[in-house]
Amino acid sequence: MQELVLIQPGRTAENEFAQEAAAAALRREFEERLAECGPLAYRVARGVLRNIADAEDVAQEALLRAYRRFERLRDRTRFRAWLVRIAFRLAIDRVRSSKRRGVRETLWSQRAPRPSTEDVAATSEFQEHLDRAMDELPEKHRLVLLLAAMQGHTLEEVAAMLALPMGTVKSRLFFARKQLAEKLRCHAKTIEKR
Amino acid sequence: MPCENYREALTEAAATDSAPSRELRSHLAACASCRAAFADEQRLFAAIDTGLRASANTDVPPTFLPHVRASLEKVSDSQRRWTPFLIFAAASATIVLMLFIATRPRHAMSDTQARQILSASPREKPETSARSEASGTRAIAASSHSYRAEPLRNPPPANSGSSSQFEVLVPPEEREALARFISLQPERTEVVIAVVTPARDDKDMLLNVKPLEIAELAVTPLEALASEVPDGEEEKQ
Repeated sequence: MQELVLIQPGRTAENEFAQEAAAAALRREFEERLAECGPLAYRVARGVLRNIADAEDVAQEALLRAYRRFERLRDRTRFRAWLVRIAFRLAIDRVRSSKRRGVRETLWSQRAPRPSTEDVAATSEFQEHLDRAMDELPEKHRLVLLLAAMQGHTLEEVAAMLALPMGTVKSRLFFARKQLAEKLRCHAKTIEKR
Repeated sequence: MPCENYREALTEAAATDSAPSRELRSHLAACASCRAAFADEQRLFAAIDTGLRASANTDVPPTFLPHVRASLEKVSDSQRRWTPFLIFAAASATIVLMLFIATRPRHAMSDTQARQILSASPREKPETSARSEASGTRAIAASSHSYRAEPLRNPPPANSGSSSQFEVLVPPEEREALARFISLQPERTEVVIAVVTPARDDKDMLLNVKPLEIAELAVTPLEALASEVPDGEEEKQ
């Protein structure tokens, strides 16, 4: 008895198999990078947002975006830098939109949203001043400061990640720290309380 | 040197975490207030660095990566589910487009043909209409600019209809409008021909000027003229 196999027109079983294999390989490769760079995306988002829930949300969104466009990324060695930029940009956007929302909500209820218990525990008086001073820094200075402060990041790595010359990274870091010091000099007394 | 002059160098040394220069070192050794200020600056920068490290190296929540993996799974599933629909939609759109192109009414002269005619020679020669009229050029009175059609080398007969040999000079911003006008004349080819027909451009031809012919002058003295009084006048005297 003759056996007939129904195949979708324009698509062979080999084609389908090859496509699925390619998708699986891509997924595997991304998962490897996720384990390596996922925490970095989270920390960048956390450094900007200073809120655990928001940072998790933004980092997840950044990773999903990266996954959707991962196939189109030609130089896979640039993944880390690419992800950092996506996460930073999304976090900045989130801060801006929440500021706008905050203004609306404050006008409506005359009450600012309360920080979570974890967030309160994680901050001291000087840290609060530092966070506020960080918010006032230009974005390019803030990102360099954040990445340079992360464990295991040398200045060379930061320069490579941001595709910037070493001199630019050094000068941005110097000016950022100097600006922070100028803003925080009046709060220097609170350092002892930490 | 007063202490104020060392403030900048002091801050810079603390900011870069580098050893102070020899001059600054000797001043610090002599000045207790600057020494205290330098220590404060160092403490401030150390506190900034500590704060930065604290906020930059927070622990990643253990639920973070599993959540991301779950989201990736959802994205992959939805991509897999949507891919056949997207392929089907793209194929349908292509078929509809092809049907539309196939059933579209054809004009005697398409837009592209007209454009080819116009864009064959982008050379522009803005001329005044007075000059065009003076040189016998027919101008297209569509706007204040004059359009001049002229043959490339051997002008074809006006009724031949082979417009591809003409060179039409039109300002670039009005080229498309003229192309559209030409393409909208499917039946009236004589209009198209009139528009792109070369005008007789004989202004550059050499003029054939015949030299003036002046008769030779006969020079005669005045006395002789006086003696040559006509016969009738003599009779009157």
